[in-house]
Amino acid sequence: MEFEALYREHVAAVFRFAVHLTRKHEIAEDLTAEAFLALHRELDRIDPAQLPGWLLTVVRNRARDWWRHALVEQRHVEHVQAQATRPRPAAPPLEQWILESGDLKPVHRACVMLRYVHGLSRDEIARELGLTSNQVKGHLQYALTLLRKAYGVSVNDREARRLGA
Amino acid sequence: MTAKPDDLAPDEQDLPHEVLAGFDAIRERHRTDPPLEQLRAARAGVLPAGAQQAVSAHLAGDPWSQALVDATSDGSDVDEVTEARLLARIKRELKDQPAPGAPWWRTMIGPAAAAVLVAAVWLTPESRQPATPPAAAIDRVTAPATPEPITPPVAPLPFSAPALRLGLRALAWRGAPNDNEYVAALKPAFDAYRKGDHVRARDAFDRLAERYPDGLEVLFYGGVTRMALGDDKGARESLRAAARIDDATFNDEVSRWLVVAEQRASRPVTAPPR
Repeated sequence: MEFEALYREHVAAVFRFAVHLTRKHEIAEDLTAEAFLALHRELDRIDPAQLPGWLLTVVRNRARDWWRHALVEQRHVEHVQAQATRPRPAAPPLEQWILESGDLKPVHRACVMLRYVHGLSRDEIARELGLTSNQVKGHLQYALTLLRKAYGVSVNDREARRLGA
Repeated sequence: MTAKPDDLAPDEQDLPHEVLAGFDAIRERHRTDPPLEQLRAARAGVLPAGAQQAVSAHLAGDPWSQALVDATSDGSDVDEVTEARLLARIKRELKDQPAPGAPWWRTMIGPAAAAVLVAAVWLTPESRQPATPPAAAIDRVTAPATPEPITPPVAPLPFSAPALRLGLRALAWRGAPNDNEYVAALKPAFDAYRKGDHVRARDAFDRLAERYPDGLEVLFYGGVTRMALGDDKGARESLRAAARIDDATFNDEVSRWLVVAEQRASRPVTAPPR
């Protein structure tokens, strides 16, 4: 099968996976390019049925190399270990509501978590989730409506607060 | 890692006080969590061993981090501009490579390619395997093939020993393949390196350095060998010299090892207890 056709068929999945592993678009581009260059070298021996799995494996291996380089000093690895195992206080009720509310779909949950806890802007959330900024705005509004309802805040209460009553 | 958003619109801030306080508490609770990219990398199993274990353990025990990774697992799609740019980049890099499906002898573009084939036979004995995806560099070091006694490393290396390969100058040899004296001279040192016999490898690289003081492979792999033997200053000098050669195909790897060598060599020497 022609190389360019294979590229067009699989580049989206490969790039998405590379972004998932590194969260850096420029690194993801490097990993994606390397995967397809590797494919080109092996093209006469590859069964198209092996794709995109073969390509994703190349990306995974290259990502492993990249992470090893990124966490270049053993000291940094030890820092990661220390931070990851540090004891934390108990989860507040709001955290349990966010995680367990059956009314929140995963996309709403993600928008709330990324916005209010991890400090991302709407544009950043949109890039993270593959949405538009307007979609993120809509999802946040829906989630906040549910949140206010869960905490017993009515529309009238909000209007009264807005009017300073 | 958490942060308070500083660009909340009025309607985003219009929440009961206990909710806003709840978000403060959640941010504090997860303040030292591994960042999202490490969580996702750990889920995919691509972090270095120590970090992989720690972050995976955190992920297994923290529903918030699990939910975060689950909710953001799709990642972003490639847009048309990026897709076209990537294809153009790949085509540029393929310009000098042979077309796929060409007979193997078409790769013999002059003596340089023959030198690559000669070197490749003893550098990567598994080169004729079926098309398996290229492994990570950390997986390519082979175990010793003979039961000869070897000297184990004195000092632990920060990452797996780099796989053996040739730099641009060695690959650009234009004489007859069997006349590539430098590549042939590397073989004993490379054999010892591959077997993990660091003392023998160091001695071989030292002898080579007298004849080929600017040999990138001598300097780089000799430096790594010295680091394994605890000679951090020697490793630093060797890797600094390798960095000065400025071979684009080696620069990243040389830089990584040089960072470690610089730090190790600058640590104060502690006297043994009396």
